[in-house]
Amino acid sequence: MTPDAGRWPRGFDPRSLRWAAASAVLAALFGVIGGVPVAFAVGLPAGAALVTLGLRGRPGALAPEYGLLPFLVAVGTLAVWARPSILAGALAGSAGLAVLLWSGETPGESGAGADPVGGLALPGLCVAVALLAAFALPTAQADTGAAAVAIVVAFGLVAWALVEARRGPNVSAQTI
Amino acid sequence: MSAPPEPEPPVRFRPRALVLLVSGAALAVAAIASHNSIPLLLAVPLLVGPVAAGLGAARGIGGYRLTWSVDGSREAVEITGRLARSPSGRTPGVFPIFYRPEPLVERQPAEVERTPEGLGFRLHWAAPYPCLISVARPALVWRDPLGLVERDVPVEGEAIRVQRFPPELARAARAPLRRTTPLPGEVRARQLGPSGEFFGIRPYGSGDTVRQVNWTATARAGRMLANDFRVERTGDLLIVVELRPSSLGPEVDARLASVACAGAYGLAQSFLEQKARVGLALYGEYLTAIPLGSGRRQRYRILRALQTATVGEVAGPSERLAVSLRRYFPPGVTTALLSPLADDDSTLVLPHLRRRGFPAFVLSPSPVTLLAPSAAAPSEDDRRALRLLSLVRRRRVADAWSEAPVVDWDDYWSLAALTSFFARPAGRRSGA
Repeated sequence: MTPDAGRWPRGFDPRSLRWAAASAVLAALFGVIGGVPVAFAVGLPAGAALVTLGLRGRPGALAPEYGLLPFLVAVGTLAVWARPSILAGALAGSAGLAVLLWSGETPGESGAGADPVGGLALPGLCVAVALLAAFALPTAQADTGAAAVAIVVAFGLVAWALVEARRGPNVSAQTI
Repeated sequence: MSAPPEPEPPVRFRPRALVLLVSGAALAVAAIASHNSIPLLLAVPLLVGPVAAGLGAARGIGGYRLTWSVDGSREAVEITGRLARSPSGRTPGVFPIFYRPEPLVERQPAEVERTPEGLGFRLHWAAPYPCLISVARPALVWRDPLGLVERDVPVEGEAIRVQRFPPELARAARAPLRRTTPLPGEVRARQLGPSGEFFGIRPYGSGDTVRQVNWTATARAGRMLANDFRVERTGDLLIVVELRPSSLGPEVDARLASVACAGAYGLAQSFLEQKARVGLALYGEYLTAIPLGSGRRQRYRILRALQTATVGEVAGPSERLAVSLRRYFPPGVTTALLSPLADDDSTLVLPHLRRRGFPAFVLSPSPVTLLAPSAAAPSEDDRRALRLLSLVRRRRVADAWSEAPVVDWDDYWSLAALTSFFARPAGRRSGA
């Protein structure tokens, strides 16, 4: 049960505020550090976050599913606009991770995901590898970062296939 | 040879995962086009998150067994249940999805508690007016920690019935009913009353008549004692529910039909408890009838018919109802007509019933209750409109009284008017 449910408008889940705020703050920071005018860097993600919160709080099954689009468009615009730097890149990756957490909390659902932060392990690792590849390698090319991410994902797939093969379905000898 | 294990339900991406993937792909394209690494770094978690969620989907969750019950009185509907896992063990990420049917509304959010055996839940719902509904069993889904992929989890269990009607209907069976068979048989009612076969002696009560006092026993004991009698089988009751569309519109008609069906079921249950025979007729454009019968099976027949009853699209003529009733029911059976009397034409059915030999009384759920403004402070116009509606309603009920007694059911959670009507002597019940 949502604590203090009576204090909030119907359909609005205060639990989603923390990750919405984190996403908006991180997006604003990488915009400011990336050289975007402060008014845009702060106003765009803040406004989009408010619109997204309103959309996701609306009744109906589709609202929480597609309600994140305005914020993604706004933060994508900032990302294209920003100048690349290692700090801006790290903040952009963190903003993406915060968006994942925000997406995981559905207003009105009976409980959030179990250990949502734990679900960020692989995406977080990929962001770290991409960041190192993009800015720490001598070439400093984005293509190298993308290739590194692809390698990590490929390793993940191989690991998953191996684990699934070991686990397998329980088939008894009698069934065979 | 044992059966092969059932395949697990497939994992499916939720629409939000597709939103993230498409957004990530668009950002990656923008990064390549603008030779800027920032959109790509933003895109990485959006692209990898759904893929990682799909890779980590749980397997071997097993099934859950549902046990639940409904509680509460009047408008309160409190549903408590447990979803026990088989094999037992804690499974993080399993969520129940509850289906709340109309007209139930949520008073408080659902409470879900995770235990080592499974899940416990409490639903706090409310019924705004009397209704008979079936609540489907909840579905269970497993979701990854980020809520991007999900998988159905099998649940074993039955739907649950929610029946809400005024509690006074339980006492309605004291009404004397007419018999339609010359020899009603040896079946005795369960009710004790002031006449019938002698049952026993008990202390005198304030409502007992002088004829009930057992003077011999009183003299012997030195205190007032009265006789109890096991009353004879009460007779037959025909319940007619009018489901013709009215000028109020389909939405209000549906609500009124829900109230009428709940009232009809309460009446039927009450009289069937007393071993009376009860029949049901639903009239929209044509008649749907359940002939007179008694017992538990008859109760289920009536319940199923009332749960599936809907307002007809076309209103049948009033005379057709009375003519059709004669095909299924003997004349002379006591008839309870549940009709909102929403239009002037709706009272025309009463003379037809009387002429065809069905002595009827009307239990009329008032439409004014549903049409009243729900705002806390209604405007002057609202109050005036409500006053006009009440006057029209009063005139229509008065017109109907000239043909048959009418019980105006304006407070949906109380039928004190009906029980006081039944408590009157039979000679004073007739209308004009």
